Amino acid sequence: MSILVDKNTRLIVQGITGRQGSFHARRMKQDGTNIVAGVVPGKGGQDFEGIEIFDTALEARLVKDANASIIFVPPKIASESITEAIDAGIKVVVCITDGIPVHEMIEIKERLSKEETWLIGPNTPGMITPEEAKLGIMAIHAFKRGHIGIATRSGSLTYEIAYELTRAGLGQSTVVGLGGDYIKGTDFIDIIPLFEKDPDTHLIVMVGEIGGTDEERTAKYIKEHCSKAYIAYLAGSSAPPDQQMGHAGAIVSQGRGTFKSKVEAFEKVGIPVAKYPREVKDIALRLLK
Amino acid sequence: MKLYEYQAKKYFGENQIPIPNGMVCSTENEVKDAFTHVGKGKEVVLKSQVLVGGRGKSGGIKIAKSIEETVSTFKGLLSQKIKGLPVSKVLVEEKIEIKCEYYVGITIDPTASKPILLMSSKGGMEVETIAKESPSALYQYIVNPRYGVPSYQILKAMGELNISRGISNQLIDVIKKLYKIFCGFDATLTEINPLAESSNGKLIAVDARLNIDNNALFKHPELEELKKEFAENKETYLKGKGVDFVYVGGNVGLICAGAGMTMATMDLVNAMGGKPACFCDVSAGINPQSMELAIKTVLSLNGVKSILVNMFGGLTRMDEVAKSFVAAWQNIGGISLPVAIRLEGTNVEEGRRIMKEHGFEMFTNLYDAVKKAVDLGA
Repeated sequence: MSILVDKNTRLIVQGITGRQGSFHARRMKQDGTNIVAGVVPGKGGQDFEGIEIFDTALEARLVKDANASIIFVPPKIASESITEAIDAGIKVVVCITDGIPVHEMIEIKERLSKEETWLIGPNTPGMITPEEAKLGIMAIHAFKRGHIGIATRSGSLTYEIAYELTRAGLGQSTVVGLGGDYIKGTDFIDIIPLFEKDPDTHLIVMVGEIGGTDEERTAKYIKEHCSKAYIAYLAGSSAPPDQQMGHAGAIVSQGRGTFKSKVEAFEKVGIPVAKYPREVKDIALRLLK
Repeated sequence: MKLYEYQAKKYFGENQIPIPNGMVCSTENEVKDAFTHVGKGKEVVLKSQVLVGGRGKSGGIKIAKSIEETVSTFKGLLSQKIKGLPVSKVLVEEKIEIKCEYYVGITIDPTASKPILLMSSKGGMEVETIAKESPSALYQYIVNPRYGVPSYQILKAMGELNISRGISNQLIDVIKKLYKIFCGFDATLTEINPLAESSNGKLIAVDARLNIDNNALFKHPELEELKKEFAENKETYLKGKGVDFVYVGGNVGLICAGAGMTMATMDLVNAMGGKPACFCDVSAGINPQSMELAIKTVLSLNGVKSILVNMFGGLTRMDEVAKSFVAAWQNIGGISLPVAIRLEGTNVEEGRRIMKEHGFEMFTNLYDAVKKAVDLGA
């Protein structure tokens, strides 16, 4: 078991002929993901290295019975591609694109609240259920099949933490990159219930960072609704306030979402917060003993 | 993209939000002119144009009552830094007789994923301070983007904040226009603080803030001039070249890949007793040019005594990183600062070989590398 994606995932790639799309479609396929179609407006009927291309996501879903999509299109048209995937009735949509205007994300979120689609991202490395399906741009050698669920706001830190876990023999059920943007399709608080319900996930690692109040809300949610073991790591203890640090999300504003408030929120409900990335592995080994 | 007060006021004025008469000045002749026309030869307010809050407390706002005083005050403001930022323009305005100060702001609430309207009867201080010291004086309303800000919500807020009903029509008008600006400009923040009620009962935007979403700048050809200015800003320039950079000010210069990883590295440097000099993320483009730019930028920072390179590559190949680093280093030549390098991930063995061939020892352990960089920088 796993969450959202597994060996039954039938993936379409929106923007499969672009520079990023073609490169990563090839890699995802090599890594064992079942890509059933590509979507490129105007190129319907052609194919990409044996993968059939359709003009629209709806056609691709209907003809190929797709249940997931990954989006590699430029930021100016990315929100339209997301809307298209939602309209096509695709269950899981991963948007890799970085740089979508935040006002467009406000509209997407409004739309998502009325639909059953899971949007992962934007501005994410994607998600992976090791050895079953990769919907993303990560290199698979850092990951291994196992029982730890990881949800993270940072791509690069995911490698650091997953690799340490993998080397210690602790594999992962599913690893989800929530993305670095201010407004995201899926937050910790949305994804945690899925991990909580997944019998194959025994422990959940949350990799957060400063900004927003998602970690604080999630801590409260876990206290009230969850029974599994959780570990948190938070980046940004040394970031100056009101400075944007690469991720649009990582900005401490109006006195909220500080490092301190997040650590306190987790510790108050008994969730250990790792001081260094490598401590995640140490705590996990202890908790799983 | 943050707009200066005078730029934001221009757009507020164009959208019929009342603003004081004013002129932005960068020369002596201009301020003299402003004293005569804007101040009617009697009195003016001089406001340093810097993109930082708490300007008044830092001595960035002054009043002058004669032409000589105006010129000398102007020179004084230009020679002074506000929280480390230089001043090149001064906004000279008529002085408003203020009876009451309010706060109105619209920003995005990441929790609700919607716009949020903030209102307060205690204008003139920073909204963070209001939120902390008198939270009951701060009214927050999550806006449904379908309907905008309805008048009855503003009236309700006025009731809760004990704001006199006499100004309700004006306040509703200002807030609706502010919301229109917020949407029309793809803003992440629009703010009037203070929104003053003058002695004759008129509302007027004494200060103005407008921050625009960098990701949406392409939608705004009307901001071409401002965008040009913004692009000349050092951090924007670097970002365009694949180096995401923020100056922080310590002794250990960082070159990392990935925003989260860069932040975590900064945290580690701090935890081990050093001070990171910058946030510097080169993941957007690993090549000799961007690497050279990153190294040069780090070298140009005051107080940097050591450099720490830390990357964990998924798709970024470490042999490419090593090649780029070596080429950039050789190109710059003659660097005396010590460097600690830790690379991990795809093709790291080849990366290590290349580094070693050129005399760079590489750490396998992140924590040893950070410790070394901190020791070297001490």
